[in-house]
Amino acid sequence: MNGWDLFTWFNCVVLAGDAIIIFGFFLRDAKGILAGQQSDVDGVPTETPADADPGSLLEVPGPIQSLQDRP
Amino acid sequence: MDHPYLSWIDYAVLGVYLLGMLGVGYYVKLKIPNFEEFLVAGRSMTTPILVCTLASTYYGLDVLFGTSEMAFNNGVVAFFGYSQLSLAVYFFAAFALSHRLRDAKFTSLPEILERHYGPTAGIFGGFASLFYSLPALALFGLGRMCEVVFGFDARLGALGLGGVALLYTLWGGLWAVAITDTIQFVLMCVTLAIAIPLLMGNIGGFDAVASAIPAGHFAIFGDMPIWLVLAYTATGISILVDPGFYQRVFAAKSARQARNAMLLSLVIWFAYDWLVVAGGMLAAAGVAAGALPADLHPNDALLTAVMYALPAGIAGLFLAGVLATAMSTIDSYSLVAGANLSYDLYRPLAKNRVSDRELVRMTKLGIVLSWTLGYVLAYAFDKLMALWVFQATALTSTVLVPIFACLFWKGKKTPTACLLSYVLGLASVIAFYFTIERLGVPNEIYGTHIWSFSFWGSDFEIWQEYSLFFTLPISILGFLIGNCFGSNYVPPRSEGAR
Repeated sequence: MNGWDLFTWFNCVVLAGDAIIIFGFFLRDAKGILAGQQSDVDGVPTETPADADPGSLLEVPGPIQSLQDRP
Repeated sequence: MDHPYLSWIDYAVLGVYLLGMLGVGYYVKLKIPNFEEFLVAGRSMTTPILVCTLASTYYGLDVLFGTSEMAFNNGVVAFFGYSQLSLAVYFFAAFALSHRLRDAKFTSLPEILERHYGPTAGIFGGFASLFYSLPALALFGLGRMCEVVFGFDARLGALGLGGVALLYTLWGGLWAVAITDTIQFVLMCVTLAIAIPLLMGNIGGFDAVASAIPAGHFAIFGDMPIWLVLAYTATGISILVDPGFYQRVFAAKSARQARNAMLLSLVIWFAYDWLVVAGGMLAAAGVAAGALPADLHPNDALLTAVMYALPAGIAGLFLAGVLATAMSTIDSYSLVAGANLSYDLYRPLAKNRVSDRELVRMTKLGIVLSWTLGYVLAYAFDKLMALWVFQATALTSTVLVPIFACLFWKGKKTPTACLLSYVLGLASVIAFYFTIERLGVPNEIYGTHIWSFSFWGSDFEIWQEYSLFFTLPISILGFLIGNCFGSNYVPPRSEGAR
């Protein structure tokens, strides 16, 4: 087994391992997704429009009005 | 339907996969209350689902077959010279764009232009995004795969399998796209990670590859010209204005989750790229050893080699993964194009007096229209890869400069600057492609056009891939000239509340 074989095996483990782990996290969220409310994977709370930082995009006029409020 | 490497179990696995995708779409359909849920999934996507949808959307059949073809012909340069350098641009996007885009709560890419330069700029951006998002290449690839694997007519194959992607996208919008992308992502990754070691076992690993192919195929950058390496790197620039990428950032639960998803996707793409390259090189060794047909087309090398190596059932799973690769691209870009038609073109023309229900209906109509246009384009052009490169260059050369001015430049930026940058960028793209097509000659090795000429006693070569080196500076120049005229856009009062 040469270096290219090892590199290939390494990438197989990374790809399959990552895919399975990420899918596991997805399943953890799935219940919330299907119920319409996600769980908080990274411990980051869901933002409301009022939380948005209007200055983070330079000179943005302001947070967008909810489309549901559109006449 | 008879294929030497496939059994009925494989066809059954494919049938279950397709029914599963339709089932997900139909289930999600029952849970979509409004336009924001349909288009940006209620801005509540978490890191795992974002990784899946990002990774599967950007890796289509062009990567699976195009990169493996390059590896089959040229070796590891397909990885180091072609695939990996553009990942540096994605790294930049993760850190520089995710916060700026997510926190401003946009709904689409053209809306950035609309807010900063006015409705006309938004409509221009809508057309550029729509043209880029037509899923012609993915539909063509799907049809070609049906022809090679199942012996179907390519047009019928694209119509049937592409139709499945169309149907679940219409039913469930971004949620359906993202959930099916997640399943497709797992299939893509796991089946490839199983297939390549089995193929190594069959062929004899890289020792067998080294004895079967020229030693130059292990040179990191091969004999690729430096300008071509830079040009391939530049192809990654299109992600900086990719409407599908923007839509996922807008849909993220937070900017941090968008950034983390992008960084995790980089790891996935790195490993996936190498395995595709390894598959192409192993296929070349398989041909040399007589295990695979001597007349194997380089474009079909990976698919044929993997089906040869995999046992019944797993081969069906791999084929489902290949279908997934194409379908995840078709669904995502059809949705983006549909939103361009409804939200970016129809809504401004209707002076924003559009109900949520009407927006969803118009978006669905737009999805069908864009899918149909993509299908027609797929079989109207014989140089589809060139069409895709043209689509990407046109988008980058028209909207990158005005959008980056919004994101990174605090000073003056006028509507005239945006429009002149857009118009000159587009004109230069058309002029460049027309010139290369007329004066250049086709190059079979790299599948491109090259214009060779002498100037002041020196010889020069301009490749089709060099387009951005000319068109982006012209777009910047247009912006700078236009910025001398007029003043910043001030939204009308009613719009200012948005």
